[in-house]
Amino acid sequence: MKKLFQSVKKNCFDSSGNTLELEKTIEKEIKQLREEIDKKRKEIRDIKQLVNKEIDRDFFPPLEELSEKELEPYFDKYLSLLEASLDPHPDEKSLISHRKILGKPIILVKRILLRMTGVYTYTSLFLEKQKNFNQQSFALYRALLGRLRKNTEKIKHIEERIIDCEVNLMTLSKKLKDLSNHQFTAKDE
Amino acid sequence: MCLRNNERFLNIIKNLKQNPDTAIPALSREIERISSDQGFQAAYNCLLQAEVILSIRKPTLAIYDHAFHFIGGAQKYGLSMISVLQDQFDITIITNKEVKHRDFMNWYNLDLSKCHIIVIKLPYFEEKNVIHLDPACVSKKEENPFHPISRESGNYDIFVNNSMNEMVYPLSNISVLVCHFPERRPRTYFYADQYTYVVCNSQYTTEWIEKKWKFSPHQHIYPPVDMEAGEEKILKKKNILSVARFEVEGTKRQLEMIEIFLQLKHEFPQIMKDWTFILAGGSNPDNPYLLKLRNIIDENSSVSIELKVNCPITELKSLYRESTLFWHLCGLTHEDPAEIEHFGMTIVEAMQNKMVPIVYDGGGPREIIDSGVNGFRVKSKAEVMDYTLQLLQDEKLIQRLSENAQTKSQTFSRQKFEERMRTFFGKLLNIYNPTR
Repeated sequence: MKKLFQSVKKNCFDSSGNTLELEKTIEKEIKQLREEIDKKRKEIRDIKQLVNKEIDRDFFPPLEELSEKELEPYFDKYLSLLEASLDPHPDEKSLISHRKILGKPIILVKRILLRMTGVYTYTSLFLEKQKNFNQQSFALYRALLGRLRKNTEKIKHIEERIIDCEVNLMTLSKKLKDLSNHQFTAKDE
Repeated sequence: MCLRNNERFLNIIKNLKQNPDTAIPALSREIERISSDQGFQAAYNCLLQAEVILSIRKPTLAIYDHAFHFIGGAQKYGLSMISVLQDQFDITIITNKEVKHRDFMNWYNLDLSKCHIIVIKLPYFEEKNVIHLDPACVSKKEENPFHPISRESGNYDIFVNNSMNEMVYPLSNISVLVCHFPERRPRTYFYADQYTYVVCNSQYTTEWIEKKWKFSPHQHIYPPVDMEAGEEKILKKKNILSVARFEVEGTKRQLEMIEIFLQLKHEFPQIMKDWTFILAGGSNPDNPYLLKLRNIIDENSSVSIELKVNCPITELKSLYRESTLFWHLCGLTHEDPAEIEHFGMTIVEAMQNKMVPIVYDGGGPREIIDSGVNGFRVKSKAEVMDYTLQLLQDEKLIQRLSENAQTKSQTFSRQKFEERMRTFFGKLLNIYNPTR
């Protein structure tokens, strides 16, 4: 490919008197095309449209790989998400319809159906049981997280004490070594 | 990733001068086809490439860093890179805040007068009135504030993103992400894997790119270090030096170093007699961490500890030349990989000046120091104290290690960096323009 290009370049640039004119024509053609495309490019605001493809993706963090610092915000985030969905009973407010005109009557029918099948049937007994389970699980999570945080703090303190011990040990051993060297020197003398 | 040329388009360019009557209309048709299939940016990029192949103009290169208005190692890396490419490319420096050519000259001794500087202010950060543009504060709920930079990237043949910011979507034909460390995991507006090439500064960074971003960078080029001492022989003083920015979070561990020095002075006054600890580094005004350090030093005024904050380069050079030992403990007692030194340019600067480094055993410094050969790597405070005392009591050991340190430092010289960068960009140009 490279050789081919070099030969083309040589033929085109060196051979005839018309080369310069041809070069100018090509340059002008490319310039004109570039200006046209640039104008269209600038009219487009969205980068997705500019490159004709989706550029954004969803990423899910690999929780098991995260460091303690990275994990910390997730505890609070997921605890609050759990807390928000403790009660499994259907919520009337969540009933929606996408129809513009028929929407309101449809929602009304849905509400009636929900009350009939939800509140006044056995399902509510199961949902109540599920709610209790959710609340207890959530309480357990919070308690475990509390313990985890306390233990992390304890480990930190223990590590600090180990560091002090290491320093003291090193200092003592160094002093002991110096002392014994000093004793040997004194004996020799 | 990796540049893929449009062979069909290249064939048309090849034929332009041989068969202009058929090739010129074919060029228009091909551009129209590319526009509808791949978008207007791809069509524009093809025309840019055609101009370079047909020698209509020099190739253009733009480099972006959202922190070019600050002094920093990462910024020095990017600007040193373009300083060697000024003759090959028409270069533009893209910043978000005002910065002048003379700033680059004063901060890094780099003459970038052949490069243009353009400032693209980002409304999202301008409204917040912040000096430091932190990509981490951008959430999915907001529109990507870095898209003006993404759009600008599409005006050049090569776009280099030198910032720790993966939120710029590259639109140029060739895009290079210089990664100094993958601070964030893939999340909202993550485009690091959309660059044609990813270059990184150390093996440590390579490992973490693989772990966090799940791909391997294409090239690993160590940063340029140019603090070589002159030819004249200087008598070394009894100084232990630390050179690191005074980070508000204390990640460079200056406080711990002061504690170690105080303890050494207290426990071994005879050995430590006449030794001074000097802490040099840059800091923002009103830095609470720096204030804390000042207070400790004032409380122990009988111990010789000196702080040199934002000292001029001439003074820093003298400190390097005259000091004997170098401490660098960034990473000590840290677990987060981002808080461990990614490379450690100041360690190499110390080695170039025949100092013996004692550094934390983790991150980039592991690639620089061979423990016991040209310095020591330590895991704990006790080890710092132990090795320091060993050195202070053994002049021959200092002599041997310092000479080895100077030899090893040559691996990271500016000359080596420039050679590697020229080769890398030369290869890119060869692919981009097969007629070269």
